[in-house]
Amino acid sequence: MAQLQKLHEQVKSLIDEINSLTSEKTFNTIFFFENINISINFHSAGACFNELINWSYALFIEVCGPNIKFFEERMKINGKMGDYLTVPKLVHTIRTTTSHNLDWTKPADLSKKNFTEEWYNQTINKPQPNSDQDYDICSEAILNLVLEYLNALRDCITMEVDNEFFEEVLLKEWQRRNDRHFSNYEFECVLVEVLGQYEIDIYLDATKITKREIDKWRLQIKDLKDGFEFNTEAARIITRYILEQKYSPVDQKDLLDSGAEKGKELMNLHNIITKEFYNNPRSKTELIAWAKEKNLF
Amino acid sequence: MYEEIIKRLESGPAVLMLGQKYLSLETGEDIFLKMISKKYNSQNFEETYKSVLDWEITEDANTVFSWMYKLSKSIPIPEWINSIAKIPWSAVYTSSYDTILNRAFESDTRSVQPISDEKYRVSDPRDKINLHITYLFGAVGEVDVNLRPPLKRSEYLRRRAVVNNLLNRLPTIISPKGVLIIDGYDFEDELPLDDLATVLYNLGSGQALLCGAQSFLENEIIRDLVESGKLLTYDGMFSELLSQWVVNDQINIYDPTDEYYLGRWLTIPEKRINIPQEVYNAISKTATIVDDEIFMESINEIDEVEDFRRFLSSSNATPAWFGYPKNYAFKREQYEILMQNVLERKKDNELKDVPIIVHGQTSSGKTTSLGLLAFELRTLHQYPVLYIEKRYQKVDETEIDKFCNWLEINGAKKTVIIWDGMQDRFYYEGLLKKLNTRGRNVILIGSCYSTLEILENTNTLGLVEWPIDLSAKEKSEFQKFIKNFVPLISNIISGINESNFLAMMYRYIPEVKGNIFRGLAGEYDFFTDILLTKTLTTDYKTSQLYDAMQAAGFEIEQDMLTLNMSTEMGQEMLTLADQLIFCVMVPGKFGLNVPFELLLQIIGYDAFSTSLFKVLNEVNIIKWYEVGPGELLLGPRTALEAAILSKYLGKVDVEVSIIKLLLRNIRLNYGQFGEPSYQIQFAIDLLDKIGPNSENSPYKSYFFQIAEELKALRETGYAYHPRLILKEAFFLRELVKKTGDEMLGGQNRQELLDRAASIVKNALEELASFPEKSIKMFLTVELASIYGTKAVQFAKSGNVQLSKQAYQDLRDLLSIGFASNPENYGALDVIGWSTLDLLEDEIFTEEEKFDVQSDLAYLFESAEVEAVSERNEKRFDDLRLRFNDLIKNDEVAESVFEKLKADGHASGFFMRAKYITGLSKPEDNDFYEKNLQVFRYLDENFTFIKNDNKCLFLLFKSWWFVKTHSTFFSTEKQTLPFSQDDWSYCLEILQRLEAIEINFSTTTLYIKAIAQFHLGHYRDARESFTYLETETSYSFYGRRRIKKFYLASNSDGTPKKYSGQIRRNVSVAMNDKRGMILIPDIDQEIPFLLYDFRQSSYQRGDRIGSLYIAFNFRGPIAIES
Repeated sequence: MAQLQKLHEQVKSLIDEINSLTSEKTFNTIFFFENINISINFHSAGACFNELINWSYALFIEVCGPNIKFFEERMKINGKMGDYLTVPKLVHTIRTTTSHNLDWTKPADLSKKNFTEEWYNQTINKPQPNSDQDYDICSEAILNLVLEYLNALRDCITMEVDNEFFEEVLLKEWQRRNDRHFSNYEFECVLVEVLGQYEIDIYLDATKITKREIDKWRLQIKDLKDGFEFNTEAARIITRYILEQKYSPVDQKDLLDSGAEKGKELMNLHNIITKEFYNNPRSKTELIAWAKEKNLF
Repeated sequence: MYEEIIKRLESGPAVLMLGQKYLSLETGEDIFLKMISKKYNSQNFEETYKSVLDWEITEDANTVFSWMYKLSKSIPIPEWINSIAKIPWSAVYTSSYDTILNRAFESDTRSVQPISDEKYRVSDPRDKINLHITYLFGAVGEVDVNLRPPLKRSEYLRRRAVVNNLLNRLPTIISPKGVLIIDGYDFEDELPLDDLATVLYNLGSGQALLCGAQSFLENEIIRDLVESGKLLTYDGMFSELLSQWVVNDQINIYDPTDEYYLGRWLTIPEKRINIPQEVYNAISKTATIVDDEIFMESINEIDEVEDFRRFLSSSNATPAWFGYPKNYAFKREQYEILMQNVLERKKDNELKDVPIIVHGQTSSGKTTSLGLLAFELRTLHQYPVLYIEKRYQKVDETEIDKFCNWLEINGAKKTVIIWDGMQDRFYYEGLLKKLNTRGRNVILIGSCYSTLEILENTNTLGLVEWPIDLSAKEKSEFQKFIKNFVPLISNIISGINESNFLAMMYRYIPEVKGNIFRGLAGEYDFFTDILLTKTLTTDYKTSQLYDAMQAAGFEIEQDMLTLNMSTEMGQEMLTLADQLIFCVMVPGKFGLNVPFELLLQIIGYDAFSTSLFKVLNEVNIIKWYEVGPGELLLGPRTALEAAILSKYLGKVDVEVSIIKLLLRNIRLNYGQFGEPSYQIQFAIDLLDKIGPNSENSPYKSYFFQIAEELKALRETGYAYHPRLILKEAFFLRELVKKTGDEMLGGQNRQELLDRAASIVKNALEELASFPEKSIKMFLTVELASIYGTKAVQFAKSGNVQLSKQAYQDLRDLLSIGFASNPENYGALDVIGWSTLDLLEDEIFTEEEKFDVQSDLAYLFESAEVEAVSERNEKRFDDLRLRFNDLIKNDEVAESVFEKLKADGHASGFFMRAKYITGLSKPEDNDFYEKNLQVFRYLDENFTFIKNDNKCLFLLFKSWWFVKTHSTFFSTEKQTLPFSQDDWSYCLEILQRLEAIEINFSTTTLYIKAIAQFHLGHYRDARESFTYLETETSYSFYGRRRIKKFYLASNSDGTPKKYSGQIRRNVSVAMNDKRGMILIPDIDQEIPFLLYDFRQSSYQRGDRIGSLYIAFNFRGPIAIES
């Protein structure tokens, strides 16, 4: 564990170094990584590994804005190669496989499972970690990869800031991408406003919906020409999603908890309740009560 | 509004055209242009690409472009391009010249090939995996000065011609199926609107979309294009439109990126393995890997009947994998036999050289059944399966070998290769042999027609017949099977007296629910009716049919022609509509689909052909097939339908006219002489179906006409290709041999043969530096056959001198060594039949006769030792029998013998020695005694025979038998009881033989290497083995190459024991089963295989106290003692 803690400290110090470097070279306009609010429990091997995965996921996906993506292309141009380049995807895949309920009959989900098992196989010679030692080895492997990645990233940034076209070409575009990057919170605010227009904001969980759809919304914003007004465009995009009438205060897990049975019928039941919600908006409890009253389960 | 565009984007070919404004689309500022303006636009000209030509840049061009290249590299890829790059584009065109697009479109799953040069050879212009990006004005990264962007007006004008040539390719690449998306283009582009519009006018309606079109809407040309339906417009960026389509689920684009990262997986009994992208990409040009996900495609809530129909209709070229888990494939009775054959090969190594061949008529359900076989082998037995569909592109044997090797390294015991190639069965045997020589463990299943040759040899191992008719039991099973999907049809079938499998499948199953099939004849009428209403447009004169009409004497007025205008073909009047249909149906009845480019060449690319091809989509009588990464083909739905429709043509004359029309329009647009091309492959396949070796005799009387068509192709240079030359020569030779004078087109036989010889000789000369051996071998054998035919023709007309001269030409061309190589059996055959014919015609003097006889006997002897392949065994036996019959009473008279001897010929000795052994075989009791006599006889006369390869070989062969009591290569792991003197004698004879023999013989080289090893000449032995290994790689020697025939031996005939030390860790678990072991006694490291020692691992330094050394064609190898 001490070794893991030491590695994690090295990672954090490298993050600080990258942040200082980019702040200085971008005249304090870009701060590469925001803070991560996930603490690591270095007392339990299994928990430590899971938290390290979540922590790394936050690092590569949540707190870096568009910066990691922007430098991915630069790293390739600068000839950075190696397994470490795919560590953001690796972390993402392990997190998906371990934290989500995946359906192995679907090719995409099965591939993720195969991929994760293959990584474990190569790391600990078995498809799943099942001892403290296994988890420690996996944690160390992830931290080493993250370190390698960050080292390469720092080197790449150092090279790029020396590029004769840095300020006029690269920095300009980098800043532009940061300007066009909108946080989950900004999208969520627009969502709440749109839901309010339809008077359903009090029933639906805006944070959950945002988390689910944010990638698609961002993609559509990204395809717009410069000069757009974020609130207007985001509202336009989000409204289209709301009009599909697919969000409901009740999810399938709520129904299972309330006594519904698993299987094909569960989906039908959920669809009926969702439809009812849009006909007559009300809370989760009321909708479940309505369904029971109608003897739907 | 954009539904048609979306559909075309999904089905492809999709082509993107990006104008010079593309970098400013998102931000309004073109950073590339801005930066170069800042540096070079000292006189403040307008900041456009057009104005760059006026900037008068004086700096050295190399410096300018090197700077621009660096700048390009520093510009990040616009984010919107990343979005549109997910589309599997078939090609990208651009008038920009920075190099950002290369990066933007290159990914883990797609490489990029920039093209700035019109002369650059594009073998597959629609390749989605190796995407071609055409830089109309060159690119800043180009080294060649002519391929860089123009910086001066003069350079621009010079480049315009190249631009137009490159643009002219666009309509063909797009084809009537595809779509062109234009973005980032405006009036300031260096590409003039007129040039772009010319391309657009050549496309069909709904085939092009212009984005950012607002500024063009007042333009007359654009308005006309829009009004005529050819061009659709959108004011915004294409990425915005695409994003809307994606969000609204209007478009379905397959993005392989995630799949690449997460990997493709293949589960084999031992484990699950990840297929690396480079392995996947390399093999996917040749074959489909039947991986873990291939059967997992699922379409939710689709009508089952439609889904079933989709399965049936897509099974003509490639199995529709999604249907197998849903039990859509009807299991024929023969299927179990087929499966049994495969499973037997898993256990039985004796069948390793024998492919399984499924033979039957077209449309007997072979493709569906082979797909089912792949499905069951994967899902029930977890065999790794590689599937090769019928295609004209070359099947790359090296890539198959590499893939199988990769699988074996990863633990697969055997790979199943299913090749639905409808090839001659010997192609499959050839491939299997070659893979076996490489040491691969493969079970090969192929498909072919039931030829006469096959029907005469139905007992041959591995042949499985696939009859077109259903048995009574099958019919009843079929009825139950159909009932699962369409109960009503099942009732209809029970009352129909029809046992044809295809008819069952296609005639009685509605195309879509509720639409009872209208019958083939009805469809044909409907189709021709539609075609006949089409009017030809003003651009028609580009087409071949236009020429045909003019040649037929029609006065063609613009806008006056319709497709019901008829032209004479084979003394029948055929409408143009019919010509198009039959250009597809005639090859279609032989199971051949027609390359799109070929039909385009016939019809001509213009608006007429576009609407014509559009009708094809509407009526469905002719189908589009896309094979491999970009090969577009048109074919009938089934070969049987094509055969039925072809009968509408009536006489064979008309059919041959269609075949000639197709051949006449074969084009080779690129490539080194001899390089593969799928139009050529189509022509070859078509010629095979109607040629002298086919079962289709009605075409025999048209051979001269066909040969004349090939001559025209050759002479015009439209399709000058050695494989067509080979065919032309073959048709001519067969004409001379087998037809009457009335079929020779008024020419005499010798003239035709001279023409054949001359074209083949020229082709051989041109191929001198061509790397591939096989085409040269075929041409050489063909030339020899022509000489042989000439010799026989001269002999028959009594012209002995000319006959002998032609025979001498033949013998000069083919050496015994060449002809005895099993790969060149054709050469042996030619020498055989021509020599025997001439011996029967008695053109030789007595001395010549014995020379010729002894040569032939020696050739047979050598070929036997080198092992004639199974496919040729019968022909070989027939030749030998004929020879033996001819010489059995023909002893060498003493006077002739003495004369030969006095002249320095050893043929007399050879023939007398041969008479001693006669026809006796190794299993005969007196075989040893006879060999002893032969050896003594030749040894006594060594002075006379020492410079004669035939006698030396016979001496060596008899010596070997006397010493070992066995023939060469009789069993595996045999010891050799030779003293050092024996080995020295052996080596001396072999070196002598090698010095005389012109061509390589594996037997002598292999034994020579073993002798060198036993004599302690290890370095020489290694050199000999290296040469042998190289020469026999990818050859017809099959398993013989890797069999361990002999062991290092003591003189008493016991195997010699060695000890050794392992040089590095090897382990089955790590899939590293081949290691090296140091043998101190010979001071050499030699390879070993773990399984030969029955060990799962060794580590470096392990000592093996006792082992033997065996020899295969690759060299010494350690085995367990």
